[in-house]
Amino acid sequence: MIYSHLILHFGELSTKGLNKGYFIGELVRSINRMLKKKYPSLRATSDHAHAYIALKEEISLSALLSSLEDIPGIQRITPVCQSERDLDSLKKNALLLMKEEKFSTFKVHVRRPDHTFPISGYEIARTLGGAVLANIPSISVDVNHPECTLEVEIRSDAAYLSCHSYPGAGGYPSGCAGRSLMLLSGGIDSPVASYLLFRRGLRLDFLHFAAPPYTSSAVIDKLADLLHTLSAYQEKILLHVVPFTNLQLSIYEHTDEPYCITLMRRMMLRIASIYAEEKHIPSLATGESVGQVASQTVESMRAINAVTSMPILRPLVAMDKLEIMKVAKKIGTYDISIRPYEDCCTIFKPKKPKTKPKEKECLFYESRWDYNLQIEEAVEQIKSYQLQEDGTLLLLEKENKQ
Amino acid sequence: MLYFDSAATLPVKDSVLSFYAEASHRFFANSGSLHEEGRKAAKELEKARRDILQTLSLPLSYKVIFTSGATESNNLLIKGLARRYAGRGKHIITSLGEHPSVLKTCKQLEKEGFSVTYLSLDSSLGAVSPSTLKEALRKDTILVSLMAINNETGAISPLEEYQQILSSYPKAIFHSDFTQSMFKGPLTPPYQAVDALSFSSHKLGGIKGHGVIVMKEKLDPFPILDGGGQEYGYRSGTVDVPGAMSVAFALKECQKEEKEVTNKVTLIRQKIENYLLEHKEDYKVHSFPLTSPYILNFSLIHQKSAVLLEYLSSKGIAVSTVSACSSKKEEASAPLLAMGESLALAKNSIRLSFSSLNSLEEVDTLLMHLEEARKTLVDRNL
Repeated sequence: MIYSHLILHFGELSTKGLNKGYFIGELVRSINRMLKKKYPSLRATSDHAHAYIALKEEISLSALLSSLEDIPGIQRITPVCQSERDLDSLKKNALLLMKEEKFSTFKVHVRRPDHTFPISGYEIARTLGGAVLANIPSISVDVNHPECTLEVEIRSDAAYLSCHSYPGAGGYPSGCAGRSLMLLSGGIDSPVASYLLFRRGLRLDFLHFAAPPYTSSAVIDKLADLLHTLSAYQEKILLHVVPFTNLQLSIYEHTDEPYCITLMRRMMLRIASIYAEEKHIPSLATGESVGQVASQTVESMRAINAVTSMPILRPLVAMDKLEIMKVAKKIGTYDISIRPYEDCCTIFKPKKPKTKPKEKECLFYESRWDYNLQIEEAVEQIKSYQLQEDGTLLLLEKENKQ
Repeated sequence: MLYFDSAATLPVKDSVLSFYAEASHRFFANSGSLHEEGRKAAKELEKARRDILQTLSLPLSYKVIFTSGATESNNLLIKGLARRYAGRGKHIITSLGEHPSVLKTCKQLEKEGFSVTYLSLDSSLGAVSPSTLKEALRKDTILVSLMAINNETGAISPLEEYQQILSSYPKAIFHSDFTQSMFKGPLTPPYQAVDALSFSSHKLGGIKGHGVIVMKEKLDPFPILDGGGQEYGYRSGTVDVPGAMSVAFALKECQKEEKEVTNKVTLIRQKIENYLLEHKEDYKVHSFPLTSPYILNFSLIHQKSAVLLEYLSSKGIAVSTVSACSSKKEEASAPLLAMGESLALAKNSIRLSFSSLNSLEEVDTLLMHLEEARKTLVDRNL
């Protein structure tokens, strides 16, 4: 392989004044977490401007690039070639690099961080440009709008050449943008929503509503597998499971069928808000997409949102199901999500859910019984699990409340 | 754990396990090896075959082939016999209530150019009625595969009546899947009624991963696995001699216990059935004139079977359903559908199956939880 290093460019980080060091540290940690899993022989380092990975001969560049493309906070990835600092070596490597590219116009851009280097930048550019022109047919130089730029950097240890960059995921390094409590059902959407939020730098806790025996206990294994896949983007993953059966049954006892789903979502958000508050998490997140199902119309969102003042992040809100499925396949959660075991058994699925529910109606149904007690009970009985290295969930002991 | 899923599998019996452990040390050699140890193992292997035939009171001329389980046994017999005797005819008869290892195998043979008749089950018998079989038989029928006791419903097939009909069709080989039928009481059809039978060891409290074919000497199925020609050339691969010995041993143990265990599970089944019949508005018991005392199948009229399974599972009680808790992939019981039961009832059936491990006290606990579930679980037709 001609390349010796990868240079990873930070994206929106350059706008982050004094926090920059923290952001870069988090980014390098998440890169190294991926490398440790997939490429144990590689390690990323960083300085104030970039992160670097020294490549090894046996590594497949395309596979490594696609792994890096998933990591939030990397704007651009540039493979570079290390060269001896004499003109002959520079020429040889420049040609090797440029012959791989397709372009009709180019320029050479030289930087000399090592100012003691005896040959001037202009001289290097002229020599290399001449060599490229002479060896690659039907191309010309265009210094204003070149299709391809050969970057040459002369450092004290060696020279570095590059001519192509690959786009990264963008966004912020994992965990830098604050926290959110993601409502995770086990379907296709919520893992994709989680991925998009991870990419934006959010740290997520996960909340799942279980209604045994109406939902299968096997769903927990499915969630573990989903979270294991998502653990590529966040180091420590916690899943909180809410026992929801009693509330569910009360809803169905006191509510007319079309409003059941709306009330169920309202109860879920109430529980999620209280729990998030307890855990000092300032926002909630869901995998809802507008219009996808009856409970996801804007009218329905309004009736549901009314129970909480917390911001509800809905990263999928304007995405098509097909787009969502495409991302799910890309990040590897799709095949897990389509396994059977519903989050909510068909028993609780109304035949004709209300597509434009009114809050007034919701309040009317909710006045029929004292649900607060059940909500308190549900929050009280939440069980928390931590995802382990091997992909299993470990039940955490409840912290003693003071 | 109260285990009412014995038809799925059983824990290995202590006696079988210690027998197997000892045999593994003493007869470890390859039964194909020519040295003293190899010959010793080969002798034990032949003795295991004889033991099985003796236990089943079948002539010693029959062939016994050891496989990896009943699924492989069914595959080898059905594919092997059909392919071998395709020259005599290409028609096969089976029923819609068979185990997938029979049904899917027949589907595969259809792709290979065989024509297969899938018989419905008679709703009162729970099995293929002899007259239906008679009507389906053709001159070119070479194979009839009908199970002895249905694994989901426990319905017992009148194999002797089938045999009588088949006696005027000498070309048609009669195979029966006996997986749920080895020493399961006096109602079990006789092993002599068929030309070939298959079963597995783990459903008898034997070691998992072992199956058997027993067939008349004249039968010559075409092998699926080619190789060193072990097992008369029908099933190549180094033979697990201690495993084969353990099957023969487990079978003998079952024979010894048959009467006692059958009496016990008959009482257990009766008690549960009585309870279910008291609540006809909620349960439909699938009972037939000839039913195995080891299996009790009923449908929930108002509730979902997956929910009841989940409920009982959380109370430490293991039962069996066809479909999982899923709206997308709801399966229904093939035999119940095959006997004309409604889709809703076929989807929401529960199978309880019994063994010597169960007791009448366990039944009290089961019934207590069933009653609790009957009263509290939410209606599926909301």
